Amino acid sequence: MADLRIDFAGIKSGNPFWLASGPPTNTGYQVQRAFEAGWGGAVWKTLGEPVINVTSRFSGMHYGSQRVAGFNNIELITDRPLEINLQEIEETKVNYPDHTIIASLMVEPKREKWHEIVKKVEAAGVDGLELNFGCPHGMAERGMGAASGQVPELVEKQTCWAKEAAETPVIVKLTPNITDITATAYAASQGGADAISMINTINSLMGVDLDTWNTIPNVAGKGTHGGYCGPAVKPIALSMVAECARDPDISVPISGIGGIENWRDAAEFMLMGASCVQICTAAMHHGFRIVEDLIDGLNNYLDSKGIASVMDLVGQSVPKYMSWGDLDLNHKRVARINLDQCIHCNKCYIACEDAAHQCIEWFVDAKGKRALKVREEDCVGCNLCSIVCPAEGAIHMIDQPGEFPMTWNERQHLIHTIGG
Amino acid sequence: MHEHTQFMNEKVKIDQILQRSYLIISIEENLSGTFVTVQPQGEQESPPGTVHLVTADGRRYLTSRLFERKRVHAQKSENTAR
Ligand SMILES: Cc1cc2nc3c(=O)[nH]c(=O)nc-3n(C[C@H](O)[C@H](O)[C@H](O)COP(=O)(O)O)c2cc1C
Repeated sequence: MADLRIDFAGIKSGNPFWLASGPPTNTGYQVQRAFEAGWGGAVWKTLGEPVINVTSRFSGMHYGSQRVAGFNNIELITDRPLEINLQEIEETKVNYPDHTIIASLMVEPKREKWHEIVKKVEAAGVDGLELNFGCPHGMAERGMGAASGQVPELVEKQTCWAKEAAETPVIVKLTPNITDITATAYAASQGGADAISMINTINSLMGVDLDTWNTIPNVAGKGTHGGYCGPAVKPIALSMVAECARDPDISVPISGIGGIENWRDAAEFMLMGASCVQICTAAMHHGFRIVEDLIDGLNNYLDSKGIASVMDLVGQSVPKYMSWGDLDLNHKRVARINLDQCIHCNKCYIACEDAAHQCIEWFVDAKGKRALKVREEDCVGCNLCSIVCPAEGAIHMIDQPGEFPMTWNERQHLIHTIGG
Repeated sequence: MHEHTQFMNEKVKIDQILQRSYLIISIEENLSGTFVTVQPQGEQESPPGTVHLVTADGRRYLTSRLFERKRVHAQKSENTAR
């Protein structure tokens, strides 16, 4: 059994699986049940001046037979007074002293407001703080959440204010609703953040009802943009984590959030530089007990790789992630069709003919049967045929022995020296 | 014409440039592709010629060969220095 304990910016946790701030961490009752189920930590539902929420609040993106491929919400931060939350945090910490509780915070961008809330929540015994600079709706209109999180100077300044009062580690939660997340990640680290977490939800409008022409979701027929999360956002979240992890100017630990549903997703985030992961939608969809599979799966994976501690996984794939200009232009990959597995659906042929490089063609085999083969010299190795192929193992992408590597950057430099 | 056939035609031209003693004066890349301007060596009077590469493989091949040539030269001068 591998060691799943982590040290995240000085916060020790029994395992890397934390519930992200959201409905599953709204109350002490829920967080205690989550800890009982095996979660290593929980980021409490964001604390601040209690809000009034609307109904309805959520909508799900169902794609084919997959329910909740994506999830959208227009819920705000906690609607309960600070004192009640703090009382429950204290009680939870007493009952579960070895579990991690992080207080998520959002207040107006004023120094005294940050000082006040930081001192109050730390007195309740939290292990760390997460500054919510990410909520894209409602709170942003009041100058908080994403409205603060999109302006690097405000991120830096508010992090500074929180740090002035904080005795526990400060994690800054970043919004993905920005062109370059490394700008705000850098601002957070300049402000003294001990760690960063990403992503909060992505601006979204789930849909429009074609009968009523109301937006989805809507409140008495009126809608507003919400925050998108769940499995569909994982590639976006992963790339943002990777961009921060590979940036030499951002050296604080990262907590990965966004679309994590199973141990594989979690391991990918950790390989890409996250030293813990947070989960919201998957817990809302499947319940707290998914943590059992997360723990078992990650444990088995680490054992199969001969890795003793989960911390040894962190960042292993980061050196393999770079700018496009540093990729090898001479690497050659081609598609090959395995006729034993091919079901003759022609999807690869149509895809290549209509949307790729027209390099899959018919031939008649020895038994006089028509079949498909790839004209490898014209194949550009785009993967489209293998992506659309419904038959497992029918199309393999084969790496071909190539020449010495040559990147775009090296090539442009060479042309420049010749006189391009 | 299949792109590969087009590339093979360009490859022949590139190999000619590199095997015979041509001096590459410039490589210009623009919306129309890559233009390689060469001057036959020892024939200073004859005007420079231009090879136009339109395939991606042709453009890749040209610079790969130039890299190879650079590498061989570097190796040679390293050996003579020893
Ligand atoms: C209904 C709902 C409410 C949320 N509320 C908060 C919140 O109060 N504070 C916060 O920082 N993030 C909040 N989030 C964002 C999540 O913590 C998380 O960043 C996001 O959902 C992406 O992770 P996921 O794909 O695992 O859900 C909320 C998400 C959902 C779905």
